[in-house]
Amino acid sequence: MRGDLLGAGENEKRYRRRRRRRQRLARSVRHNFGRDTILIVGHLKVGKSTLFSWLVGKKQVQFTYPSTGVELSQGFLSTGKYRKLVDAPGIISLNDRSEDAFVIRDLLTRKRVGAVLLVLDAKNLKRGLALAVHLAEFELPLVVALNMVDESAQRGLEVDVKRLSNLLGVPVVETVAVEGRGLSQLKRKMATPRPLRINLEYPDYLSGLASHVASVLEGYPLSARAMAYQLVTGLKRAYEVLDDHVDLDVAEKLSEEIRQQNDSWKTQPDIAITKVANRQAQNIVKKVLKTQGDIRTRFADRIGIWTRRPSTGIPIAIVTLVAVYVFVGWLGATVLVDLLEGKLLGQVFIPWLQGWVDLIPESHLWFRELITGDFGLVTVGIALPLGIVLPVLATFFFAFAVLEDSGYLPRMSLLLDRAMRRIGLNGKGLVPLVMGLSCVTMAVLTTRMLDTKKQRIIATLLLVLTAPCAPLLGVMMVVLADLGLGATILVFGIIFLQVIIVGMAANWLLPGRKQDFMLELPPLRLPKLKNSLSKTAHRLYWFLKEAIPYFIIGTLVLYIFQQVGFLDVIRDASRPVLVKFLGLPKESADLFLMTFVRREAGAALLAQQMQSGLYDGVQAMVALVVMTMMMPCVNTLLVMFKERGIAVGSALLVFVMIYALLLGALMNLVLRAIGVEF
Amino acid sequence: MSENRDHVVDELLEAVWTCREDGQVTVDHCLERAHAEVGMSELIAVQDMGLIIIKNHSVEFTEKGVKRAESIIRRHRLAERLMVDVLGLTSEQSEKMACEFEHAIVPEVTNGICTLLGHPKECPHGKPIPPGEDCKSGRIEVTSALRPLSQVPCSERLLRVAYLRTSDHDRLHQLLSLGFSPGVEIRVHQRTPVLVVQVEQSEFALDYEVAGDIYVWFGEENHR
Repeated sequence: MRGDLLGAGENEKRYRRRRRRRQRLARSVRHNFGRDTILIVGHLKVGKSTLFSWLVGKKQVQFTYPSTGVELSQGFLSTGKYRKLVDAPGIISLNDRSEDAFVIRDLLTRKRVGAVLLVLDAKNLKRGLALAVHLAEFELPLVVALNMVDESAQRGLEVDVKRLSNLLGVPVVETVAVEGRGLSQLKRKMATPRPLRINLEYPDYLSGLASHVASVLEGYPLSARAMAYQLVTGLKRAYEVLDDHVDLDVAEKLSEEIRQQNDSWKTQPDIAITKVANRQAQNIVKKVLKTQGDIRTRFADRIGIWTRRPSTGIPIAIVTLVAVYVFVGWLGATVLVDLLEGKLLGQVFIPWLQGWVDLIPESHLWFRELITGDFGLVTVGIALPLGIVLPVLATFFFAFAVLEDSGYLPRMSLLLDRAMRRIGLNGKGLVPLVMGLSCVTMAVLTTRMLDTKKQRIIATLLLVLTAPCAPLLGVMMVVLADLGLGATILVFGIIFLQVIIVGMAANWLLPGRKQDFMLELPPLRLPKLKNSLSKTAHRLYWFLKEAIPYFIIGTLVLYIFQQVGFLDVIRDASRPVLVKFLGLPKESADLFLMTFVRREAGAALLAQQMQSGLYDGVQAMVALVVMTMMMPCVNTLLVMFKERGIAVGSALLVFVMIYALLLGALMNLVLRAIGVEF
Repeated sequence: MSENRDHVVDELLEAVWTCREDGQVTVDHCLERAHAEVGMSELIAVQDMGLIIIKNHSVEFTEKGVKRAESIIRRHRLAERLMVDVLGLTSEQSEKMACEFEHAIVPEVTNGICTLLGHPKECPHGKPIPPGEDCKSGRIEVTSALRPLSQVPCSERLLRVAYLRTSDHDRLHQLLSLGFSPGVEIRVHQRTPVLVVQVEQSEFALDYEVAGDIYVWFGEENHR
């Protein structure tokens, strides 16, 4: 335990660490939290984020909790004495060892927030109330949103809300987050949260210690009972909080006392406490839950069954993927791109602008070039993201939001569990990989949900090496639309093959144990168009805000290189690799330069260069594959180093670059040898 | 330690119960009969807990006390039957082990053992076993068995979780948090490629290794 970790003379170090941490925290805390803040807490998939979006509207900010990688969202409330609302990630339980649960405990224990909005799934009242029992130890006022009451009613469950509110001593509001039902009432009640009337009834052998610890900590600026709960439960990171707020000798003595008791316990305290809380929750459920006889089987439930059985599920999965491909690849990448880039920008806006630019005297040719030249800020810097990337991304984000909101993705995980095990992951690993088709950076962040280090490394490797993110995927589709279906299948086939080859090899090479697969399957529901659209709009907004500056910077760099003649130098310098090794035209150096700035910018440039007939089919395919695999974008790089560490991160990067070049060269050789043409 | 204290209380209640069966409920008899090292002070402590009343050197149960004593006697005598009938021990050997065993089993398991043994009426020494709720409700005497969830075919039947057998702490914690606690009723909806299990109103996908740690009562539903 902890006592063993601290040698003599460690105290000084600890003091310094404590001070540093405090300063870092204080900065973020002043911004994002305070007694006027309500924290949203709830299990996974209970509709927290949907509620959050309804409550705060479009003005949301994402930030990470200091010294962790946990992403929180913050928004503002318009009424009441509570002004800020913070959405925390969903948890499995309050006393597990995940980083998400730690952040929530940390915020509550240090009283960084003023109140809690607990979101419960009305279908799973017992599990939710068990969370409430744990929360009671944190002594903060609370409001309960009993969400998804429509789905619980369909299952013949009726909750006596008044009774529940009385038993808990806090306001309870029934809501249907996806439809915005019950929201005005919830908003009203959020002005008056109340402390919970229940307590966690510790098992006999822990109750003495818990009250002892709480009494010792009375008077310090943290929640004494919350601290006792965590220390008794055996949550080691609670000592960080203890160190920050409590005198060193007191903290030292307490941890020693707990350690001594710990040796005599037969049952692990967290297990015993979880059991007790479950039992307490069950007792409340008995008093408030009425079950009615008639349970309607919804049509969606029947489809839900079909989607998880292999015999029907696998065809459904294939149909779904084809539908997404048609929607994004045809509607987005062909029709909308034609309309936006081809017609609106290409035939109307840019010729119009060109007319004005041509008025600039010949002596200022550089200025004309800057705006509408080969690397003009408008013709490339603006036209690429808006004309090519935006339409594809809009359709992709929409398709992804629909899949997400429908609850379909976990069912795919289930079907693919066995296949994923071959590449060292399991069904859960599907989520980060599919996320990678949206944004690799986000996906690398979500690898945290995987339980073993081996899996996280494999998932990161596969993501960085093979996953084309949505913007890149979109542009790839634009390029491939010109080359035809055969080329499309070949390119994605080659990339997919690498997932299998590299995944299996990594699984074989890396040590590590196999991981449990436990995944909740939410009921299948018909997504609400409004929610999916607003999700899409939100993501597009963030993409544009973040990406356009990169596009402009990239274009500007290329423009300057071109003006000073440096571009030719680079083209010549990279000739051995690009022209000899990969068989690409020398202008492809521009692509890779652009790719360093942002991947889809490189691909978009490829789409443009292709129009002038610089590439044949094989060259375009090689360029696409190498571009996809060789270079993660700047954000992905940062996140990868942060998540995996410098050593693993560098190893992955070097591997990825070499592997991509070799694969590109091999592709060129083989395709030329067998004479493939597109 | 409080666990130890529970142990002593149980032993005393057990002694009082057996003395009552013999019709000799004096304080001395009860103290003599108890298997633990106990004296008057412990007996008074039990009285303070509201479990017994000591009047004129004789001991009587309160309503709360009877219930608790009945439960511990039931566990003890069922344990004896299990040792003798199933494991083939002698009644002397069984007596000693049953004393340990009675403190270790939870109510769900007690009822399970009772069903497994076919609701026996008497212990190997011929003393009556207090009937449990299952026996009272007239459930037909059947043999029942525990099975890991990984070996249960899928059906609409509700299966009660008996216990979780795992040394993997994280797995145990996660299963409990998701609602897989002993006594909870679950359904197996699907077996390939992984198990799909319904707990209350949630569906979970579990791999076979995890499901192998969840033991359920299998077969009792047929006879309800």
